[in-house]
Amino acid sequence: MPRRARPFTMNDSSTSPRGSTRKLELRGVHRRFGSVPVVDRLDLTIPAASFTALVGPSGCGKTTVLRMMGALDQPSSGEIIRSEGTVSFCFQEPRLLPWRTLLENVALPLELVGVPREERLARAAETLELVHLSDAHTRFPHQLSGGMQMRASIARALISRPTLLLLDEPFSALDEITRHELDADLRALWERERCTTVLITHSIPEAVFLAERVVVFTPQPARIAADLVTPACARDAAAWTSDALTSCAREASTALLHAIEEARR
Amino acid sequence: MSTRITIRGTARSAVGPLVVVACAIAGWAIFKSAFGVQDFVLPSPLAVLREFLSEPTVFLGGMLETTMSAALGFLFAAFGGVLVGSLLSLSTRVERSVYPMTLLFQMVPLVAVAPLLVIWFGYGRPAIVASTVVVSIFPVIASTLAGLRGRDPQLDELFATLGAGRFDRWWKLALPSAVPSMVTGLRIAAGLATIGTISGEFLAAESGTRTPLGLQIMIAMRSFATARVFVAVLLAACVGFLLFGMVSLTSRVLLARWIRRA
Repeated sequence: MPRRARPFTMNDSSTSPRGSTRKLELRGVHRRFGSVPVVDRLDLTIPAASFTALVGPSGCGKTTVLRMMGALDQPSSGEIIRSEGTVSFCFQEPRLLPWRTLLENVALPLELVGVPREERLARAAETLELVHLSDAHTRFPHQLSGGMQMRASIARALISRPTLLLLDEPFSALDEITRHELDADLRALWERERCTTVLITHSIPEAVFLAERVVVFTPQPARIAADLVTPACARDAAAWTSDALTSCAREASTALLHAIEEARR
Repeated sequence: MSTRITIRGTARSAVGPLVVVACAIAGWAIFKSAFGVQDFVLPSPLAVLREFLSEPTVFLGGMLETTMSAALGFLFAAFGGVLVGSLLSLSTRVERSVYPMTLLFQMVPLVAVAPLLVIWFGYGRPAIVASTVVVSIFPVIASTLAGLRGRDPQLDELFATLGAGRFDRWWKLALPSAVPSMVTGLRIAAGLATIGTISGEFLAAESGTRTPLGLQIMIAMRSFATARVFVAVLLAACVGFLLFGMVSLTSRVLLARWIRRA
């Protein structure tokens, strides 16, 4: 049964840091598909307002973990403790409705919980401004570049003021330059909004740049191979090549390679 | 970039087809005089035109009558087809059970059903409209069903994460996704509608103040007034063209947001 998002009120607590006590906790989470264990007794606590990146070899079960966090999938055993609030997903593809304008696309989540048209379009316009798309309201998805479509997709995830934002490799289909641009914007957005965010990515440099914490998974079944805190330096363009971040990325890469080697044995 | 339909553009694209039509008419006239074909077998283009001009109101009245039946039948088929297709899509089990039945409906030759329609509806417009519906409803049902089934599973998952209910998923996702497919079905139906109307008129039409084209063809055939048959046939073709053109034009406007333009 899909959970309905909480209807939005105009005086939402958007100014105060959203629920500082809210967190997400996975306790001994185990997930099997048939007899194949995909996630193996995972314990993970995601503090409120944090930004966590999950990296791991492809097919290791990261997406399953994310889907369970968002209640799209249920663990075979173990439990997931999630505080009340709206969960937003952002997928690898923009998943915009091709017959709707950008504004109508972004307003969709509010539309589905019954927010009146004028109010939801105003909110959509505000949210599009956050992702630097305020001049593309009336365009259709196919008239936009891949990067712009992805920005719109993020705007749609943000419009319901989520308490938990789950991103599943959102930028993996984009070219390197667009990707760096969107990474910087996403980080800035998070720094402003401080919404609890969990990101899946294949790219360790991206994980280190975006997140405060990087969790490295082993090959399937997913277990935690390393849990690193990234340096708290500013995330500008120079950060990509800064010593602090590159050495952190190196550490994560080493852990990942080690885990893969271990699994082969 | 835009799908705006300009008069100049339409005129330019009409030049080619018009030249072909003119050549066909010229070929027809040459063929007739070269082989000395008799008038009751093949009248000359000029004789056909003269025939039309002798009683233009009768022919145009018939055309109006036929157009109204065809348009009415098409509208019933369009709404009925979308409705039936939508209802069938609500459950796989219902679809599997009912779809073969609609297929059977399609397989029965119209000419065989037409007498039944006369028995049920009597002579006159209702039977003719019914015959139009019988011929043109199937492609609408099939394409609606295909369109509703063919929605993007990724968008379906998106709607699930947004907590959308069954109705919202149908109204805001499945139905809009199905529009391009439905339009294809409607175009096919528009082409078929005239066939259904004329066949219906062969059997069920009454001669009144305005005699529909189908009946005019039958009457002219019985008295070997071949030029009259030609006029009626050409006008019937115009009816089909008119209906198809209207549907195509509407669908182009309607489809503007669905068609991907790079």
